[in-house]
Amino acid sequence: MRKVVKKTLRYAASFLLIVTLNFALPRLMPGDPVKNLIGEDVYVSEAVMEELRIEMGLNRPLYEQFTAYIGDLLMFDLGYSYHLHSPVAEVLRERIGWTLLFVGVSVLLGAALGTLLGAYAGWKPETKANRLLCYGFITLSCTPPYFLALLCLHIFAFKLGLFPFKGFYDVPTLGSVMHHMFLPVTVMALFSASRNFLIMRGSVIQEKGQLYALYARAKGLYDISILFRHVIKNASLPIITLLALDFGFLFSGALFTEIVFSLNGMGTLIYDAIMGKDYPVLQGAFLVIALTVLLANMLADLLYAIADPRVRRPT
Amino acid sequence: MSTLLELKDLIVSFQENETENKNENNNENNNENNNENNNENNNENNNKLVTAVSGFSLSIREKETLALVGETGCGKSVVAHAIMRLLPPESRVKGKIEFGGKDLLELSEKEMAKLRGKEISIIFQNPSLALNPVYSIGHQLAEPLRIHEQEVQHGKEGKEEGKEEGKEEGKEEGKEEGKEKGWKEKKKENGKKKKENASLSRVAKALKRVGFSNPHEYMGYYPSWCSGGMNQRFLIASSTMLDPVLLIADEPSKGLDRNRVSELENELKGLKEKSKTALLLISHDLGFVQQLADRVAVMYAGEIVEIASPSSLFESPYHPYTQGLLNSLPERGFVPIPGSSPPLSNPPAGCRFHPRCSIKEKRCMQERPELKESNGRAVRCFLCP
Ligand SMILES: Nc1ncnc2c1ncn2[C@@H]1O[C@H](COP(=O)(O)OP(=O)(O)O)[C@@H](O)[C@H]1O
Ligand code: SF4
Ligand SMILES: [Mg+2]
Repeated sequence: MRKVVKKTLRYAASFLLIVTLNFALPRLMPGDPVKNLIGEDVYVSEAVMEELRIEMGLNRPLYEQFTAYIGDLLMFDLGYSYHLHSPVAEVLRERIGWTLLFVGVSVLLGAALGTLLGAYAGWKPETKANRLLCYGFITLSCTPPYFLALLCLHIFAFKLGLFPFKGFYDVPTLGSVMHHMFLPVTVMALFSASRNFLIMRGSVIQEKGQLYALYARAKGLYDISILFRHVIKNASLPIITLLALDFGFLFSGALFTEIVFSLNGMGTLIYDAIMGKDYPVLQGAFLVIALTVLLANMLADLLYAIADPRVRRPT
Repeated sequence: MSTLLELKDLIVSFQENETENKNENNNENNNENNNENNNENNNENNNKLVTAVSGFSLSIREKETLALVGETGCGKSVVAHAIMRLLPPESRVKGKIEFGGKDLLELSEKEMAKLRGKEISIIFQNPSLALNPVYSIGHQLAEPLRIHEQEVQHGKEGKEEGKEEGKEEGKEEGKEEGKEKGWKEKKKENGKKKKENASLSRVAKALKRVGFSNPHEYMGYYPSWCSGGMNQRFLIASSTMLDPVLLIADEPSKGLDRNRVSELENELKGLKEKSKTALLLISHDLGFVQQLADRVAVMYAGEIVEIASPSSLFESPYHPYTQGLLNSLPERGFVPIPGSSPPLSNPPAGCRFHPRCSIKEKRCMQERPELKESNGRAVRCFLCP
């Protein structure tokens, strides 16, 4: 019970830190906070600047600004993008769904693929096929996803013409979406799988030497069923942690991949925002991404507690 | 009483790879080298060959309790694992292990798997590590049933189910005749559930047998929630679930306090009375074994040095090592045997005990004594009757 309280406090603290940073950054950055809050490339007159300063409350004391900021956050008000002429929250809502779908599908596919192949490779690490697989995945894990994306785009879309170059769909049907998403999802899933594969392989090699695996054999289990009935559950515990830790990493990889495949998700949004110095959008995007990663970690903690009885030991 | 298990001239050796972490090419080379070493006499030290068990012959009769006693590191666990063919791949086993008319060393891994846990079971030295940390006790105890009863029970239970379901079906048919298909599916599910319930109640029974008065509570527990003593009882219950004809208990008394040791003694006694299981009881503790064993085999540096009934062994031990073991018991004054056991990679020539023996002669250092049998006892010493 104490652990749960501790964990909750830690997450609350992380959340507060993220929010505070997000509040402080534009105000600490060199230059006029008004400029920092509306974006640099927006041209407005001095009079309008003063108007905005009062409207945003930047002339009020910091703690008042902070409470106002928190209040806005609670109403899902993340500011206004003067570049896109639309509230940031709305822009994000439009884009993040696609990215979450993209990342979510890739992570799940990658986890399944990497875990299974890694488990098998760890069970029989000395066979030629498994060693080859291992080299392959090591190479994949060292390759930046955007490079892999470019390579795939060049070969399968440009040279072979098997897949479209860009976008989520031509016509909004499931078939079209799947056709468009195939390459980006493959790239990200492979990347995610490579990391899971390596962890799982090492984990299985370690776990299969444990006494419980020998006892499983002594009970009459035979070869691969020892892996599936006893070793795999123990060995995949580190994967849960990895998935959460990796979520942010994969997310950023996905942003680059999105740009390569011109997918209109968070990646391109952030890219355009950086190019146009659209600070409100950037700030909002960072906040949302940070919170997503935090949420993923919480989910992993929860999953871990369900999967590992040692964590939820009653006393 | 007929012989259940007979070990004939068992030799177990390990290649001790100092370059264990290098890649396979190297391993292959090592193996070749070791093979050569094997053929010659292995006195070289760079590719150490550890002969953990050498020339080991022993038989266990049906329902008998045979104790295997010796200092830590003398090869007791290796014998146990060799019988169940659980030794790691770098081991080499020679000789014969006859069980039920078959040589276990010649069975395929699949045939061997069918015997494990059903005919021959083992209780490992460290119960808390032998249980899987992420599965519940109930799940793990029911596992032997799941593994072995599938094939065997299918025929039997099929018939029983047929009868019972037949009755039920008769009633049901009168009420509604149209939904036959749905009913059949339900029947299948019912069968599965029944099987699960049956195995659950068997697990509960087994837990009761090892002293848990409210077994259903403990079935939801996990090994990490329980003490070592409890885990050991779970392990005993699990290993005896299918009434094996041979149970190997590897140092069951190790690491237990006095009370638990006497409880364990009672459990094993109960097991002997209630079932027809033969027990190979491995221990470093002669005192623990005295109450339980029908015969005691004393092991030293990979060899058997004496076999006798507990009473004659305790009254008149023949072999100097056995005498030393008895003298080192607390009730006989804790007198330790001088020196320490030899390394198994390079055992002394002649009698393996000679460096520590107080009555040794010249020939003890050159010739190897054989295990001589007389009057139902056996001893490996030149100077013993
Ligand atoms: N996997 C192994 N590799 C190399 N040597 C081993 C291995 N297992 C056991 N041995 C050797 O066999 C000897 C006997 O071990 P063991 O049977 O565990 O002793 P105990 O009588 O205490 O059960 C040990 O001293 C060790 O040198
Ligand atoms: S054979 Fe010799 S050295 Fe060995 S135990 Fe007997 S007396 Fe001692
Ligand atoms: Mg041992």
